[in-house]
Amino acid sequence: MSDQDEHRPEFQPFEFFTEAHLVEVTGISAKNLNELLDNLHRVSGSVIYCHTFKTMLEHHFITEGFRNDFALWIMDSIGDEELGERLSSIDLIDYVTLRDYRMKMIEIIKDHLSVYPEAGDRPAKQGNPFFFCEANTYFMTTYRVANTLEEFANHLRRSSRNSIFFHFIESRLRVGATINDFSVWMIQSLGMNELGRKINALDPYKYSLDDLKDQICELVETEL
Amino acid sequence: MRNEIDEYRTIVGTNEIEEIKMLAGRLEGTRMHNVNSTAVGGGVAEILMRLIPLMRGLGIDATWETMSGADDFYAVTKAFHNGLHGKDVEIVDKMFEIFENYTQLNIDTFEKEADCYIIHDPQPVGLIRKKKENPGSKWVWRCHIDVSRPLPEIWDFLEKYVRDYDASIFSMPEFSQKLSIPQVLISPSIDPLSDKNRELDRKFIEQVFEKYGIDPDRPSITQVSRFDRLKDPVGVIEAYKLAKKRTDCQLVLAGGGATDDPEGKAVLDEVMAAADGDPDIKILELPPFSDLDINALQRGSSIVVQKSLREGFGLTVTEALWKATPVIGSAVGGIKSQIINGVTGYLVWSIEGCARRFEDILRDPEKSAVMARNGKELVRSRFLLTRHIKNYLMLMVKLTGKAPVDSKDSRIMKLVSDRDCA
Repeated sequence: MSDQDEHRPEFQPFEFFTEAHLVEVTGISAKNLNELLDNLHRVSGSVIYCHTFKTMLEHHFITEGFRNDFALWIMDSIGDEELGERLSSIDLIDYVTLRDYRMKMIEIIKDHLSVYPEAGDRPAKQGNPFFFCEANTYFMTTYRVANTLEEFANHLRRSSRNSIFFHFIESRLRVGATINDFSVWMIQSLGMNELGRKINALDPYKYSLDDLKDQICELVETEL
Repeated sequence: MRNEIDEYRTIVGTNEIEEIKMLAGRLEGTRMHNVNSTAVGGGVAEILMRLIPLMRGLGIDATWETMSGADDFYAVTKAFHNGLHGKDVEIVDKMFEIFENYTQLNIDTFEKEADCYIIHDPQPVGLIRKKKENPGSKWVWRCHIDVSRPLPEIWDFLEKYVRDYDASIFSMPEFSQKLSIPQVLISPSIDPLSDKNRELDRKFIEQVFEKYGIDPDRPSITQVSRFDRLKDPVGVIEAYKLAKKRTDCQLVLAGGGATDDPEGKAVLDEVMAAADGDPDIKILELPPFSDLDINALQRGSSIVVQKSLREGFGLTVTEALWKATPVIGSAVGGIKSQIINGVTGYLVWSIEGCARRFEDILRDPEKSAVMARNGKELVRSRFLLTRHIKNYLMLMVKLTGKAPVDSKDSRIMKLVSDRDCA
């Protein structure tokens, strides 16, 4: 019997979930940075999620220089490369609450406007306002459940990008810690701390979600 | 059970099809009735022709009918359509009266019972009055047109109907309105299995190029658009001329025939004059049903450009991205949501910038190929017909309460609309 078959007392089977999104328009828009900043304070968490996490999922193929919607608009429509660059560099996966991520964006924009106060009223090019949208997220089971590392590896190979995103990226918002679901399961249910640590150390910005899945699969399969 | 949706497995992946089936499974037997104004011609009829059989294959009892009207009604709705697009049309009270009369006529004969009604565009919007006969039914107004700058008197008139719906759907955030009902965003999509978008073999593409006198061995830049000043074909020629000073290339401007459109004819004359007999500029007036030729031109070109001055969604951009052809587009309308500047293509703001990007792409095929691959992936995840269907299913699941927010069933499917972020 291998190590991973010796279930720990905290053992729970691993259930693979996935997610899908339906977007709603809020009717709130911003024509310049000052308006963007004002609205960032008051929009819902689902709006912040929509323009950051959901965008990361949809831009899953970008392996360098991921930019959230706010940064993209600031660069392309306001033409402010410096602020766009600063907002792009906030590491999404360092944040375990949308509140903290929102506050970081607000802090950076405020700081930028304190240096360049005239930038706040600069209108978006060609009248392109920023439209705040919010995401409805549908979490769904895939009915795939793993009781062993081998079963886990088989299911993982067949998992969708959305499922990888759910367990590896979005997990931080659910768990409230900078750790992904896969690592939590390996550590808590299988006692495979080293494997869990290695998987958690993978950099999702370096890989597309497909490549990230391959990397996780490789790490898991070396243990089989 | 295998059905038509399974044909898309090789394109979007098995998991995506399984998710669509899972959503559809929540709605099995749900009656979804669509109403629009025309059975043939126009984008809405085209979408419904694909959507209805796919939905039925998924177990949704999807049906479709067209409303009835006569010439005076369609003259009014045509004027409304133009006015909603921001054109200055004359509106008189009699037009509202005609609209109301035909609305009542259709209400009197409307008998279809359903769980969810999708009413497409302004013409049948008044059918919402039937809701009171079946208060448990859900009604959705699907607006396919650009209403970003509507004439207020027309929008105010329509809004009195729209506000009674359970939800509305718009194609782009720019088109949304101040409404008290939810406004869902469902982007347009392309069908990867249609003649316009399916894979073609190299030989066929070369034959099409030869047919139109384009050298397949030299770089070519193509814009597919009707001859309309808002598509800026003359600007494309100017950008081509600037780029051509330093880089060899050909230019293809492919649009529909302009014989029955006086403005189109005038624009075509301007384009001819701007081309000034340059043998490397091909101006093609393509007949209807040229989808395969357009597909080949988009696939075989070195660059597809869409230099519009104003644009709705810009499906020609979607089509080109899907074919992994490098794309340059103006930063207007829906093009902005498809081109991530420098990642899935290049956004441009001027003729000079457009010329510069022509050269960048032709000189750096490696970077261009990476952008083109990214563009294809963006379309795969956001702008294919399967995503369109999935969005409709998600909306119906939400409206009919088939995705519990908190119950023992929520382990299977759970909807989170309000994330904690105070």
